[in-house]
Amino acid sequence: MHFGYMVFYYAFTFAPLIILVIFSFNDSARVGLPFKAFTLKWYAEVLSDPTILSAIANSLLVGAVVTLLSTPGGTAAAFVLVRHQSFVGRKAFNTLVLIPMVIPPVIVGISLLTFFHAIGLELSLVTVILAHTLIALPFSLLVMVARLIGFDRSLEEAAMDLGADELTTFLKVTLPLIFPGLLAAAILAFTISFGEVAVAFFTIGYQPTLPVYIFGQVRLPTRLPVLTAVSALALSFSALLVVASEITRRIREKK
Amino acid sequence: MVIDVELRGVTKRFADIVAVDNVSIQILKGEFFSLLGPSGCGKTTTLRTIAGFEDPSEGEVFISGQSMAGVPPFKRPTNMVFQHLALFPHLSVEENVAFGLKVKRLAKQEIRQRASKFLEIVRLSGLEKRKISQLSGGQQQRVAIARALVTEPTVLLLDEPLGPLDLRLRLEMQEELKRIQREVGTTFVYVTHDQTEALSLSNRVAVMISGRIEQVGTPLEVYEKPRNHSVAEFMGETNMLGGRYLDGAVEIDGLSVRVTSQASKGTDIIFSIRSEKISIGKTLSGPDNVFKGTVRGVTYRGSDSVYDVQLSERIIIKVRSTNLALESIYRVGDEVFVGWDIDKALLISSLR
Amino acid sequence: MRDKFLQFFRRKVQLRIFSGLSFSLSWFLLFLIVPTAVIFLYSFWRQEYISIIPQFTIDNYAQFLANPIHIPLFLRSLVISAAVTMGSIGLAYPAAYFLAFRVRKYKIPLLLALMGPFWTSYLLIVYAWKIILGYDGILNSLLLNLRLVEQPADLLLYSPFAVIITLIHIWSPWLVFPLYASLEKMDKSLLEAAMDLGATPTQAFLRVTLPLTWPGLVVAVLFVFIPTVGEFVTPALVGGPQGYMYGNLIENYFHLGFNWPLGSSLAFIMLAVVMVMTLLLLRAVGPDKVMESL
Repeated sequence: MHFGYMVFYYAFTFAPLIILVIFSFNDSARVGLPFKAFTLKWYAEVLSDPTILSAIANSLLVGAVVTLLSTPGGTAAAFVLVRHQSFVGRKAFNTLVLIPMVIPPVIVGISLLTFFHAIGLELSLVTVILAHTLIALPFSLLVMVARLIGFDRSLEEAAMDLGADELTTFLKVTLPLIFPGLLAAAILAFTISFGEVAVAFFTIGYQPTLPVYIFGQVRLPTRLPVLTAVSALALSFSALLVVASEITRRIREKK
Repeated sequence: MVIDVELRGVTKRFADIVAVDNVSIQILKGEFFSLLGPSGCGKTTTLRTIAGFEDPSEGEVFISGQSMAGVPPFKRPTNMVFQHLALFPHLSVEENVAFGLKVKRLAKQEIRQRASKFLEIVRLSGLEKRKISQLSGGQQQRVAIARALVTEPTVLLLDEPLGPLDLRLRLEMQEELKRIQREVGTTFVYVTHDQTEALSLSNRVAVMISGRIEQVGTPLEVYEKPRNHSVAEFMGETNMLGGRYLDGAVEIDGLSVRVTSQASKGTDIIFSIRSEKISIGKTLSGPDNVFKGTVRGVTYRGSDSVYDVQLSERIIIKVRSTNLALESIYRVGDEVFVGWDIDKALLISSLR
Repeated sequence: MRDKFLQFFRRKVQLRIFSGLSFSLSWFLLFLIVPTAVIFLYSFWRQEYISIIPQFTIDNYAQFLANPIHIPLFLRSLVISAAVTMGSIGLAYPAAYFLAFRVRKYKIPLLLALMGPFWTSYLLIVYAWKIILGYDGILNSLLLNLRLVEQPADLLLYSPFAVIITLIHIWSPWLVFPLYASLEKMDKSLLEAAMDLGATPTQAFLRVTLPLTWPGLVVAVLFVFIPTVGEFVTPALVGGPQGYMYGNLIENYFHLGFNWPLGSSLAFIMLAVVMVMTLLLLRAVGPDKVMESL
């Protein structure tokens, strides 16, 4: 019984994505059957479309900055949460961490839009970065909390005992040991930002990120084959990131 | 005599728990000093106070005569061998050993020389490039010891480092520890709950129970002359007997037990008699006290056996006897004689 | 200099805590709490043409009750979210259960594979469903080619059904992880003990397994139901008029309708409802427990 269910479940989970990839190679102006012939022309069209390319570039830029902000920020807070079991406001802080993860994105989107408007900050990639950092931060934080819980603190004590001050200990012992965790947190933050559409939709200016661009173009039937190709590209990119993060996890476990 | 480590009235509280209670000890230069006590007695906390990982709530720690108040661990002339070793998993054997030298920014040449010298002392030459995870438990112990000794600390602190090893390896490492200490001459402060280990390794032992130092002395002193009830009970296997002292003997549950005592007539006293100091036999003559009894329990332990012998309705004593021959192993229900000389019993306290 | 600095930090535990939290804290305050306060304020103001008049009024809240669209749409969103939550738990729980207890071979690769959809942009999944379920889409073209239907079937796309199936697809792999974790953590001998004491496998599941994985289920509800109530991207792509949700309404007031105060009040009503639900759930399990089971 369990075998049949697992087959069904994995088929349900992966079939839509596989179908998407297959039809990105279909030589037809309609995304549908029959599968006429294999072609790479939609991919060629993606690569020659400056608006798509700039949307991809925007997404990469936003993702990179969000990663650089949320990984150290989340890690610093994770250190406090793991190493100081009781401090005033701990519960309140934990709740603050959970809110952005569960609150409907539309609320984050409109409240940030209103807020940026109220303080006179023009919408641009900067406002998307601010918004995405808010969304990615709890994830980076929780990944690092999970990693730091398993960290043997006597390693740091051993370093200090041998004459290393706090800074040296951090650089020579703590950092190398938590590095795979940092990498995993960074990849997760990047992925979240790279795929996010709902909040970006409200906080974006004139330069769209890739998901916002796709969201805007989906209504035009003639654009569907190109969008399918670019979606397939984005899918492969995510798959690559999963593999990358898994490799870093393996490296960590080997040690 | 030079005092390397001195604790003066050190107390450590965690919230409302007193982990270390007014501890004062002096540890001499070159000494192998053990802190012995049951788990949770505060011995590890005491060690961590010396290392600088805990600040005493009261009192002060002195090393080589200098107060350590406010001195962080990395500025103290102490190094520690951690309970779970805390070897750096991302560094090789050599890099682990060289760590303390590197952070002191010594010249590369010197780092290499000293690291290899200490790897030789702990007999790990040839394994320099290995990863920590590629070493056996005993080899890891050796790396931890070399890493802690290489910076030539005034005091080496060892926090039950042999705990996770199996018995054979433990004995081997005990010998190694003794040898290494003789070779380098560093003061060792050793924390353990294992009394055999403490007694066989140390020059002096401090017995610590519930945060307090109950007795400090040579292994012989703390074993043979326990200062109080708790030490006597903690060390070895002992029988505690108590009753009213009358004219050279104590009345206990109908038995008259002869003792040497300066107690005044009519006071209640408690004395202890260790299980191995009691003789047992089908017939017995010689000891000052001889009683007839029945074997109620036998624990056969290979080289010796421990018998629970009932002497009267309420008195059952433990007797340990070497298994010299098959005939001298008794069974439950056997009628036996047990006995001891009066100087083998130790007066623990007089109850007033 | 460095010594002085470190020494200063060593003494001040409060300062260390504060500086560690400062980035996250300021981000949460500035970009979560303050903006929420701003829309709260806006929800009591009113709009004339393109300017917002800062005059206190409860008109917007009155409009929520008066407009015949608002409340039914809100209720529909709650129903869709409930269906999505139950559907995703229903699909994910057996998968997590089998992965934890039955599957022996390739357990880790199977789990990792589920990271795929989880890491994929959620928009791409919606998009995939759109091209599958669409009027011109893959499913319809398949049915036409097989001559199962004469005309492209219309009910597949642009229906609440399409919204629900798409959202279930998005959330269920996400749920396998916390559910698997809580099942895996469970001491298997408890089940043996239950059966040893005479429980049938079903009874053992209902009386032992299910109660022990309860925190994982609460997380599921928290992380699926609540964001889904405000969903607007999926209905916009695959929902059609019948599949429109409350989130689309709010989005509309901010973009096409251009009535920010009204949009804010609608958003705030939803926020109040989900906050009350979150707090009730968190009180039931405790935020620390929830964090643990993530």
